[in-house]
Amino acid sequence: MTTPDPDRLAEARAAEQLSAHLDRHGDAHSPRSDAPPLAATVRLTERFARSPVTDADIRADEDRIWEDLMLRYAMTSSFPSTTQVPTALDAADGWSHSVERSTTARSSRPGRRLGQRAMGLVATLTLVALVGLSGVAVYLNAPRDNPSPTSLAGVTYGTPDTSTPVASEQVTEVGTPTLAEGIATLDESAYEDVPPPMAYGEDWHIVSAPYLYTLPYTDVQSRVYYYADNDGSRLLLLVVDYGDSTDTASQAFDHFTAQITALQGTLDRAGLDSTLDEIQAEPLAGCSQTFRGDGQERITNYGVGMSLCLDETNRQVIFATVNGYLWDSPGPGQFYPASDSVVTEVLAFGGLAATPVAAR
Amino acid sequence: MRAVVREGDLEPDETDRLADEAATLFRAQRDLREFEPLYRRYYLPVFEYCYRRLGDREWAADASSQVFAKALAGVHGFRSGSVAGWLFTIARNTVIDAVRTHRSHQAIDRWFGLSDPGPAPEDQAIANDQRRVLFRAMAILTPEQRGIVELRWAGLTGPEIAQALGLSLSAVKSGQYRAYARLRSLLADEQIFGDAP
Repeated sequence: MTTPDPDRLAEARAAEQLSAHLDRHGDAHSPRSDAPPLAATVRLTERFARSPVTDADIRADEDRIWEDLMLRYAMTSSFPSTTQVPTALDAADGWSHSVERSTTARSSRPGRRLGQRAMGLVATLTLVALVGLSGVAVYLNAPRDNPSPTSLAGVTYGTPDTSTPVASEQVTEVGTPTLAEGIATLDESAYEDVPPPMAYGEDWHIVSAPYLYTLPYTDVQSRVYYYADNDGSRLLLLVVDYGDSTDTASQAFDHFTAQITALQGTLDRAGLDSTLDEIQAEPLAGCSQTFRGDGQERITNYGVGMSLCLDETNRQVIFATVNGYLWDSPGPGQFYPASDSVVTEVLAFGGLAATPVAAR
Repeated sequence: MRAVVREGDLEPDETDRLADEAATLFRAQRDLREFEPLYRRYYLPVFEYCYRRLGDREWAADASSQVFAKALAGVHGFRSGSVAGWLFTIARNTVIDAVRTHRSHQAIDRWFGLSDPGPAPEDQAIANDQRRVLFRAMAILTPEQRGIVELRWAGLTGPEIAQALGLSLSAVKSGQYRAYARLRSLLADEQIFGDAP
């Protein structure tokens, strides 16, 4: 039996005392003789944390917003589920989703919230698949004796055959008019400090500039990267999703299923089914799980890693998504970018552990 | 697993407040106009919370509007627990959405009024400096600790913070203590705050 650490016990007692004091005295504005020492810090920080906005301005906003909300309520009697006003289901967690909800798209599996998020990912995947389709098809049909990643870059993007990876800072906006709502209004400046999601290691090369998309249901932007491994046997489509961080394990599975469905549908519609008879689209081990903090103090939730393996003979097209940012930010307007280790972990989790991505 | 507010965690007055607010919310499930007392009570804390995260009055007001629109739209989803915890769960996610969408790198400047080149009264300038120092100190905290402090500033109790952040109450207490201890240590070195807190 171990002896409790006296320091930990003391801290626990102090934490309990502070919490009880703050809960009892609310904002702890009035100093009390019996207040724990840290109550003064609470008061001080609270004072300086207040906004400089005047009470009159706040009241004006408050009245205006309430009137606006009630006006909408009066006009509709209830909040419609297909307008920009969020639905009850969406509002339950506060995430904004503005795409019209399809009653037929709901999953019947308990605990799932496939709904708009998954449908949005279907849209994302469709975009991705359409963009990369020709390249994937050529890749899968290419002669096996010429598997260099540089030729892959060329066939996929029509770029010159070169061994130099395209600079990741280059961002290309792609899409078709029919998918216009899914294409980002490119705000490149917003990504100035966003590093590539994966290092250019010994095992993988990026073969194109990243593509930017905006998920229509959240205005969340995603980047799509194409990588190939050195022997040309694998093409990786990595979608870095800078949002959708409400994933749970069941949602991850929903996303994964939706992606498979969407990609298969896209390939079918493109008439590639006969070419790709050998496709196996099965969830890889562990794909239904969600990555969480795992004790890393600064990481509270970094989304989902999943892979789609289209295995035609010995070739694979791997589809992976990962949250590009963590939930919490170090301050207003700031985010922690996903680290290489996170991406590596996600890919390994998706079944790529045999050829780990080289660290930066 | 999301934490819920349990009666045993609360002071008697808190239990009454929770019950009153929940009753109001249940009435609002029948008629949204009944939500107004809750709106009036929580608009300012929600606005301040949004402002601290977004750094701009209009942006914060827009976000606050979204928070309450979502709350009204989702009022039927409330079953039990703290209204404040429920509301700030929405607020937190709304702010994260807003920041993620806009990616404002100027938010910090706006928060401290640094983008305003005009002369500021001396006391305002000092307040801005103090906010800047406080912000820097906050940035050193872990995200969890920062989230706890921000919700404490918004007036939430420990159990409500636990509910809003999906943490255990013990984690909130521990995180809160460490956060304020860290802030005290950081701010004690700053002459601008005068006597050490």
